[in-house]
Amino acid sequence: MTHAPKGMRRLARMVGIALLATGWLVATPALAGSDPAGRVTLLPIVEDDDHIMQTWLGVPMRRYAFGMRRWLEDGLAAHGGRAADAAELLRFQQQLRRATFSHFQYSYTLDGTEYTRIYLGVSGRPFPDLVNASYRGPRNLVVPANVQNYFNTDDIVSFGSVGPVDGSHVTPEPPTANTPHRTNDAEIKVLQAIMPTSPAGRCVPVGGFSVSSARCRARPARRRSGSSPRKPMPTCTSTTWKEAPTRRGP
Amino acid sequence: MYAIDAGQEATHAVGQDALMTLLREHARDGRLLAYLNESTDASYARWVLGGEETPYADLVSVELSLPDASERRALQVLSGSHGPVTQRQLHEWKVWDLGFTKVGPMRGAPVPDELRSAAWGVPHIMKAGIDPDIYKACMHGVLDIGHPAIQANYALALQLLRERLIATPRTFWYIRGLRVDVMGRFLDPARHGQPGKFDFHYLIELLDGELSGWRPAGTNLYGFRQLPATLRLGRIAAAYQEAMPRGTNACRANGEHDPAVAGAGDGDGRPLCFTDATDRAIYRWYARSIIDELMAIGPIPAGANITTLQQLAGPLVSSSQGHLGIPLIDRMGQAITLETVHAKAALQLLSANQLPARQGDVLVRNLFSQRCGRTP
Repeated sequence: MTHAPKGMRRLARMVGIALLATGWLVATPALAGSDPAGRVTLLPIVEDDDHIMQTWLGVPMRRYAFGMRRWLEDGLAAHGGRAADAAELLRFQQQLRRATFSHFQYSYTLDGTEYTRIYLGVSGRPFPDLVNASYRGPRNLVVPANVQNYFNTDDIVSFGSVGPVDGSHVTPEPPTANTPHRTNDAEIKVLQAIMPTSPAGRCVPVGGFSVSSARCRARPARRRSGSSPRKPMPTCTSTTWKEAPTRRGP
Repeated sequence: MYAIDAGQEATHAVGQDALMTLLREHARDGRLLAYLNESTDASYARWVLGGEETPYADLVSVELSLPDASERRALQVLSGSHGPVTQRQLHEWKVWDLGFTKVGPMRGAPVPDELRSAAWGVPHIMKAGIDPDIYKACMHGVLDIGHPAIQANYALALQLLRERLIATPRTFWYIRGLRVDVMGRFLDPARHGQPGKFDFHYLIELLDGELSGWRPAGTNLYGFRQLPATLRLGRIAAAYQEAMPRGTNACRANGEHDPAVAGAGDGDGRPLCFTDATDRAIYRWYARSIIDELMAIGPIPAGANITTLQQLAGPLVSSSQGHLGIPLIDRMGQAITLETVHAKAALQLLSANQLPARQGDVLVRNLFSQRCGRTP
């Protein structure tokens, strides 16, 4: 095997930082609270001792990192795969630090057989939008002309990462003074992706959605170590959406 | 928000693990960096093996320096969960968890009835802690593929799924995404139907989570200390390799390696004598095997009409195989280095609220300076 190009190493470093953020998802089981409409159940998970939420959230994170590496390799190929200036890749780095991820399993029954699909989502903008327009140095990164299967998706695994979906029934709540802009949230994108791809009308959903979604509000870490109990850096929730009372497993 | 019980539970779990306890107690004294700088992966290997590392190197008896205050407290904490723990015992746990041991004790142990018919690879199965039914299921049906490294991924994933199902109350299975139906399709396809593409993705996703974390070692079903998941993966692949036709002739009749034919590791492509090799050497062999197997299968088309082997290989293409971040294909062995292991244990400590974020940062920087040749 050849040595990894420098750019790849740099990215690997950035990805490591992103994974560290996953490591920080600190979590504690809580009881389900039902939505008044009875259709969606949100389950905040605050403790993750057995690493299971980090396991599911690691999936979109890893796929995304692999995809970004492949995209950047293609984007830098014209320059012999030479490393780009850190400033030129600034927005990619920011995206890895800030993005939130979601992982959905959607089960449905067709002719008596249960099928499950996996829907992954990431917040933020698509890769071409992350090219640093204000970068003034010599340019190495060019948006790849051919669109590859960067996220290794297939008929089981979909990745919702591109901009707003036209004609979807799933729309974010309009932003207000107190709520953030949600159009590019990981969960919204996944829900939008499910609508056009599931074989609607031909199946009866029984399993529903199971979602792990990190909504981490980064809090300033307490820098001074002392005897007072520390608060963990991010606050995260995990949610489970159900369409109907769930039947799962044997 | 952070229940007191949960915190105590986390403390208890940490107090069961040798490496996590050592890290935490050194961090408590502000000596984490000093502790990490005591040794690199290579220098630690030279110390415990009494020379350069080879696949067949045996541990030497090392002299332990007097324990410092942090280590004394670590011994106290571990004694709380294990009964009196000596400094020598702690050293032996660490050496085991880092993969410097072989299968001597397993070769001397009685073969469990369910494994008698397996004939091949039994000591590796016992060290990997894989149930006999899972071991056999991953040689048949959709997994009758003659690719030991790929089969090993599915066998370990099923084993880990079973371990999680057993440890989790049934009412939490759904919430935590634990699917017993996947298990059923692999173990009894006649009754539950053949496993399919979703099952393959699901298992490798679960496995990736396990490989990226660090779990306190318990005792496996054969009565041995449980290895970390990465090293289990190597051992189970070795078991499947030995069961292949012309699996290996690198060992002598007494189980020791034959220097004339046995692979010497690293660049040497000849087969290892698995029964005489350390877990670390076997993992490095595995890491090269999984890449070779996936490369031989080639790019997986996105369409629905692909072979079962392509379906099994597809999820592994996006698997990080125990690396933190993206695996670098020329450095697959890094998934088991001392630095990576320390980083995983530290992330687990952070996650359990047992290590200040800043100390975790120190550790991850340590890992990346090793990985990239400089600090970020």
